[in-house]
Amino acid sequence: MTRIAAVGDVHMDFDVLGRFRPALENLHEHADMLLLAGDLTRHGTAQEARCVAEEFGGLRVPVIAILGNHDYHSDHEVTVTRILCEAGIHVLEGDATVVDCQGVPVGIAGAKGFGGGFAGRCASAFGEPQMKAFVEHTEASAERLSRALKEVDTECKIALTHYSPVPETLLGEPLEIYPFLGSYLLAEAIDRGGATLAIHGHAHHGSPRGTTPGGVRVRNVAHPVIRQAYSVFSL
Amino acid sequence: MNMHDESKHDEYAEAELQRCLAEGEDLSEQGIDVTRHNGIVVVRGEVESAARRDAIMRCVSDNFPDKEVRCEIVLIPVGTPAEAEDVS
Repeated sequence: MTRIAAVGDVHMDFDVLGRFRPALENLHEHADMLLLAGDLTRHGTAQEARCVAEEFGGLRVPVIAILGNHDYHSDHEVTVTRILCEAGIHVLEGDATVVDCQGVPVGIAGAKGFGGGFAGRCASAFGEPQMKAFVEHTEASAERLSRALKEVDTECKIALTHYSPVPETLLGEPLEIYPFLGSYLLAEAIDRGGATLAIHGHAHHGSPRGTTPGGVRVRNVAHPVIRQAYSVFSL
Repeated sequence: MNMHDESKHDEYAEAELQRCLAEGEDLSEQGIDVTRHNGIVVVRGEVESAARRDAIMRCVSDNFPDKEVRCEIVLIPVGTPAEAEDVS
């Protein structure tokens, strides 16, 4: 049995430092790895990234992360990524890694994703250049996720995104902001890539569980949704 | 100011507050609900620290200086999960 711990939207800075750590010290007894589903910082600064590194680094299980929109806010995402990597946190963006879970290889493919909305009520790459750029950013992210999932050669594959691939895990959020919370293109990529499980964050007022049209389980692990230091999923 | 003007003003003030919470340098809060009940501004949400709660309340009070502001913001728990969810 493989046990996956996951949490997103921890929004670290000095004022949060030490809150998660007590629950993380014995994480290896409950899970084989920890996935961080983006929005690890408040504003994407180096200082905040160092807080993430201190809080989530040095654990006795592999830690794999993707960045979220907050982590891009200061335009220092490269620095944020470097600081996390130096702390032993593997940061994915359109690529994948394989973790050995007690002899069972588990592939993790990650990409931030982006918005656009869901089938029938979604944005189109039409009109102003800004609108086309918005949709094309999501298309590119979904394509990178799909490719990363296909390239990883394991029976068990987990898709890790920040934005949601399905509307079900957004239930509780205002309908008006769904297009800023996720895109069906991510679900399509997850189904096409043969994922076993999809993990995301971002939707603080959303719901914990959903399913892609292809039947892949989707879990929203935004900290305000799970209301604990992390959730654990057994596969 | 008549009722129509006052409600228009309030709507703009609320929009400005939400932008202030989201775009303010020390805040970046996008999930805070601000509603009014009998003239009292009620602020609801969940945050990661007491310092953030206090910063949000300062921002709300600054935007509604003449109103009574009530804080219903809570800290999100960080306990260990009781059990794993089977998704096999």
